[in-house]
Amino acid sequence: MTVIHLIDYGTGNIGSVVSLIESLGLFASVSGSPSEIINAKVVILPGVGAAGVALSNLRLHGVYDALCKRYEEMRPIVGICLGAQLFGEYLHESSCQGFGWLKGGVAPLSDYPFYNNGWCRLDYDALKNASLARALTPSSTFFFNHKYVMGLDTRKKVAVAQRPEIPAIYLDEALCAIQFHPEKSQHNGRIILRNVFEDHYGL
Amino acid sequence: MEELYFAMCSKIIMAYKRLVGVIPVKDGRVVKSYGYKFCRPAGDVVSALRNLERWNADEILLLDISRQARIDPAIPMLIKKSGIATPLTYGGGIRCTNDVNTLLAAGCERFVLETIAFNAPEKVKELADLVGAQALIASLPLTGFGASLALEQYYAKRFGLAHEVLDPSLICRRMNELPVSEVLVIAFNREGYSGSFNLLGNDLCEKGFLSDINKGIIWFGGLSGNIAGRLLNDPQTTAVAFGNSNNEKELALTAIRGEFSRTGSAHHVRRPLLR
Repeated sequence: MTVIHLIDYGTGNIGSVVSLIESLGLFASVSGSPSEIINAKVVILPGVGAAGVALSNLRLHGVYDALCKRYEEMRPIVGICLGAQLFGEYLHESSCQGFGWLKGGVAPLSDYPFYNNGWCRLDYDALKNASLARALTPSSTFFFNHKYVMGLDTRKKVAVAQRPEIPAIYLDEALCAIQFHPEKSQHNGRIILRNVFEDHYGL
Repeated sequence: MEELYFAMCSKIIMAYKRLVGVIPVKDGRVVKSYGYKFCRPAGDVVSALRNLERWNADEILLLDISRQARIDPAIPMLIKKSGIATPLTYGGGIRCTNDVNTLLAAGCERFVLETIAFNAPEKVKELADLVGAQALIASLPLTGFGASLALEQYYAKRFGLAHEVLDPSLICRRMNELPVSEVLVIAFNREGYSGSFNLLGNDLCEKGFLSDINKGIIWFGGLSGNIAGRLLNDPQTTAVAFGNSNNEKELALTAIRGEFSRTGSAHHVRRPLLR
């Protein structure tokens, strides 16, 4: 059985992500051990919280270096919400450097009156271009809960959310940065994560 | 390309507004609550969570009204057991970062703060540093009092109900100072009585009193589909919440979604397919 490794670094709703992975018929292992992170087939970096605390926790547990090593070897890393934002170059929320794997800073939604708490559709054509559209429809919605948004990285495949229009998923050979919460997006969340694992990473 | 991106981001278009299913819980059991004074048993937490997920609630709010000034240790276990994949918010008895960490690990996404929002804002800041302001909601239980508003708070069972008449501008200022993403406005006395939502006499005039709050508002307490539909048309509204009606009939939230078309607000909410 394929094992998906979830990084436990003291920030993130691990329980929900474990349930999601198990509902896909996969096995989830959870730990913050650098050796397990380096050797796992796919790792997921979840995240709910403040960027500064998250980064210092990652450094404290040696996870930061383990993830950098994985990325150098171009092995699959999935970031969810805050986990995805940490892949950016600069995090305005905490005025600190991120991993730098995605071009641009992570900045607040400009001119947006409130936090982006709610359900958004994704641009269906972009989803199709990213080969993530299997079993989804143009009206499929996903749950977002954030104020800060990833910068524009034209080097990567991107699926854009509508209302507001922001990068929702970045994909390259190794990296998958998901701004929304698939683990909280009901049936559609399961489908899109399955598509990432099966159609993008070929598990 | 970059110009196009920033043009896109500058559009003020919001995510779909949310239809929140509220589950009032007392002493570990789901109850139908009436103005927080009377309660009737209404089932178990796991079934209620799974029902609301099946009915495609946009978000579920588990509201512990036991007034124990602590988290019921059974609640995180019940949340885990339900295994739901719907955004889950918890309110009731949250005091410190440990409480939030426990609930986060169980699968909660967001947290409603009431007592500490008014009496210990420094603790709210501490929580925001830990989980981010996007995960925090301030609760604002109000009743109409003459031409003004009164804040109704149960600090804990032993202290009883505190009733404090406040100038609406002060309420707005307090809310704006808190590092939270939304405000849950509760029509305190109307809670549980469907179609009775009202804070200050008639119509929805109370909304004018709270228009200085610079955060999204979730309305709760005696809403009907018709009233909620009208509230959804207001730009400040980000969600509407329903409690007892979820326990009164099967597929309650689906029926409420259907009622929004009568008030011209159906386009504000998503229309998921039942599975």
